[in-house]
Amino acid sequence: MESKKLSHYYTSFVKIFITATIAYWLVIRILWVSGLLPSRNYFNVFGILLSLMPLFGIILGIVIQKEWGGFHSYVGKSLIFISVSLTAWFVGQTIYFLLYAISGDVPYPGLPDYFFILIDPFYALALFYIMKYSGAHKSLGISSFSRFLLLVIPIASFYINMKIFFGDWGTFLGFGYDTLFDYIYTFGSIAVMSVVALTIVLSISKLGGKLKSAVYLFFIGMVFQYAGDVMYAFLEPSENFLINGSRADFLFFLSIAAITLGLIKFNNFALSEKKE
Amino acid sequence: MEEIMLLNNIIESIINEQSQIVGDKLAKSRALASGVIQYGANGQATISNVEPSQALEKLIASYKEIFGQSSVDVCIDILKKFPYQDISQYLPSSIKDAIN
Repeated sequence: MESKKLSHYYTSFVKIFITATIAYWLVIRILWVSGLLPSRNYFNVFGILLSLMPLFGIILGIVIQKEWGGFHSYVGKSLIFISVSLTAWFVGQTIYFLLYAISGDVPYPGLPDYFFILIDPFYALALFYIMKYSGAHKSLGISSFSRFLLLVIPIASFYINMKIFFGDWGTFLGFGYDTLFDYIYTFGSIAVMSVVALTIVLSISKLGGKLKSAVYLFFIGMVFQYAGDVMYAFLEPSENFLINGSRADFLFFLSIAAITLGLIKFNNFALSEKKE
Repeated sequence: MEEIMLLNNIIESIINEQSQIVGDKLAKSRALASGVIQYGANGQATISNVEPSQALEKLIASYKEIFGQSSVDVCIDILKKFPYQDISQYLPSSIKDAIN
């Protein structure tokens, strides 16, 4: 009973935190655009909130993966890998914020990027197991249309990503340290978005039940992560770019929030099964 | 006697397969939540006093609550591993249609 109460308080707090942070960003953004925001430091506060957000998901993930069988089940594994992704987010974002607070600048590629590049590979691993329990895996094995999608979606995704991030194919010819990170980020995004798209298409007639919305929140989180990456690539060269609290950061916040809300749903289902 | 053994074997196989997906704890608690499964002192799952087809239907419906048709398909795949002529009499009509 105590653990149920504690969990209820915790998840309620996380939901309030998400709502309040979204409202906070929208208000300062409107004030900034209107020229009424007295200082950019308000956006730095958002940077702190963005660093904290994954921590709530990590705590939830660690606690609930046990209820779902941990490494002995597909759901457990997917929750563990999502938590590892959030940990990479938390460490990367915290270092990013600290570097900015200390030196006023964050180099690219820099120390935070060594953690940020781990986000996509662990999301991809989580998706591998989500495919197994969402019904997508079964569709993949039986339908020739699914096999066709398996070929077409990564190629289309690759083409779209190359256009978005690099503009042309000439970038492949020059190979610097920053380009290497560009490639890793881009190919990570291609892998994750391809598998998300495939899983949605292949599981659409199979996935249901009480946890359908939880799985879809994971997908939404991964799509927002991708949208944030795209937005970042467009905004970063601009002179007015906000190192903390940019529109890209807001999308990253929404991404982590959606994934955390998905974790809350998995938590609530496991708790509802527990006997008093 | 053989009939009971076969039924218990089916039930155990379904619960074990669901354990691989949602973990041991939840697979067992869903089986109990179906209201037609009980666990003996030796940890063996058995059907309580209901018709076998009704028991299977309720057990599968209980798993369906987690991931919908995807969870049902897992149960159907398990049932397909048993000779159809041996188990057809225990199958609910909706599952029979899906197997055929």
